[in-house]
Amino acid sequence: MKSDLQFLHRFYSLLLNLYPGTYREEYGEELQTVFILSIDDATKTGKFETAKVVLGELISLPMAVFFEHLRERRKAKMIKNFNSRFDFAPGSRKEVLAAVAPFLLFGAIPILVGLSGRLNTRPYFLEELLSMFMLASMISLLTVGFFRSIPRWFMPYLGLPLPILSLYIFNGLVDEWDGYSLPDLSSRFLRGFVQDGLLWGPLIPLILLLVVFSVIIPRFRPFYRQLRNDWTLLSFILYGAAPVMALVWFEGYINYGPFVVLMFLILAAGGWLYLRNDVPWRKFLILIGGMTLSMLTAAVGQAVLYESSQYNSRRPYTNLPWWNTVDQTVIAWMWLVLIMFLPLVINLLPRPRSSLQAGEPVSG
Amino acid sequence: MPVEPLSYLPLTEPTFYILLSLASGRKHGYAILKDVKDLSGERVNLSTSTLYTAVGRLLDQDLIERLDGDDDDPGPGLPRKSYALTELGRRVLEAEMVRLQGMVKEARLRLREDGV
Repeated sequence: MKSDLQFLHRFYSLLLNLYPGTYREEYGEELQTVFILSIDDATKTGKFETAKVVLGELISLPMAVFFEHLRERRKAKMIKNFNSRFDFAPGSRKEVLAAVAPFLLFGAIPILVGLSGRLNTRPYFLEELLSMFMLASMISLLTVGFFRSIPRWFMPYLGLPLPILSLYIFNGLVDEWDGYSLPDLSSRFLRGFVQDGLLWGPLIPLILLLVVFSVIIPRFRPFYRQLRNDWTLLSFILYGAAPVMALVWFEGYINYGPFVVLMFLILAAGGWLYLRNDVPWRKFLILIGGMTLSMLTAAVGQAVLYESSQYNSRRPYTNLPWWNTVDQTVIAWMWLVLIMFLPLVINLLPRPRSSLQAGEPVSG
Repeated sequence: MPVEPLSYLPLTEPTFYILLSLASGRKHGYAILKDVKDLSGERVNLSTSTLYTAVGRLLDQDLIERLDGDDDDPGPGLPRKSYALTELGRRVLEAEMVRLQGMVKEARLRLREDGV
């Protein structure tokens, strides 16, 4: 009887090989244990009960094996489909398009808003439609990026909410800090520099927080290894902050559409060149160049619009010469470029030996 | 988005008994097998493979969860993993109970009307 039982155990163990490999690894031991316990229990009742249990197992097993193979295939297909859809080769057209999409989408706003003004159908219809489309696209791409453990093309998307968060922090600090006042500086430019430092300075802790999260959360550790291998990725995140910041700079101006479109086209071109390059310093200079050119466009746009009185007169500096209206953009550019150098500091941090040996590819 | 328990109904008899078995606490595979047999008055006699096919499906649906047996040693020769009902699983079981109660109530009323 004991040898019969041992044979049954071994036979069942062989049958378990019919299950898919991953399933066998996960549940094989459990299935075997439960089978042994069932058989042992049945033998206490008698031979008929044992035969009934064995027969029941033999009859149900083929169907169970079939279902598990089916489930495995379905899961593998889902994962493969999902991965292949968003697994863009480095420097490929798809990767570039995914990365520059936020700039192009933001650039499309003024065009569509202008178009909706000309179409005398339903007020705000196009704006509402566009806002919904943009929101849906952003949320979908954000979800995809997080599920794909933050690929390279996803960096500008991470940068998008940073200025908004920075503004929130700034407002929170001002509310908390009762009697907030700027240092008594004679130079208007210097005062603006300090003020903008408070406004955009929170970008530094935000970026550092992002790095800390990528170290702490195991799921995002590949992202941290990517950052260590390519320090320019952090600068690329900050580059993604530009679209939201641009909309802040043009607050109070009217007919700014062409300048914003040009700015975003420059940013998109910078993003394209960045992803097509491999040399870190060249990549960094491309980002700085793209940012500088787009902000220069913003400054020129502000000056032109101000001089042609396309400016909201409720703003306080309407009596000031044009250069006083663009200094905010110039100062913001200075801060942003300064912050974009921050990744260099992270690059100077000592690297763990294992991460150097791992040689994790920097890819999307 | 909250998952609606009603969307899982009606439950098959083995599924209902597996969830019911776990309603009293976490159990390993063999304990579920025996409990289902007892609860159903020996009508539902699951084989090992049928049990684990159902368990796999319930795990996919988040109605149950698989736990490590580290903190609760099952004893020698018993499976190291155990299973427990999730909050969703409990809500689905309760919804099924309400559905079955409604059916029994209607059947009782109809049978009384017919004078059976």
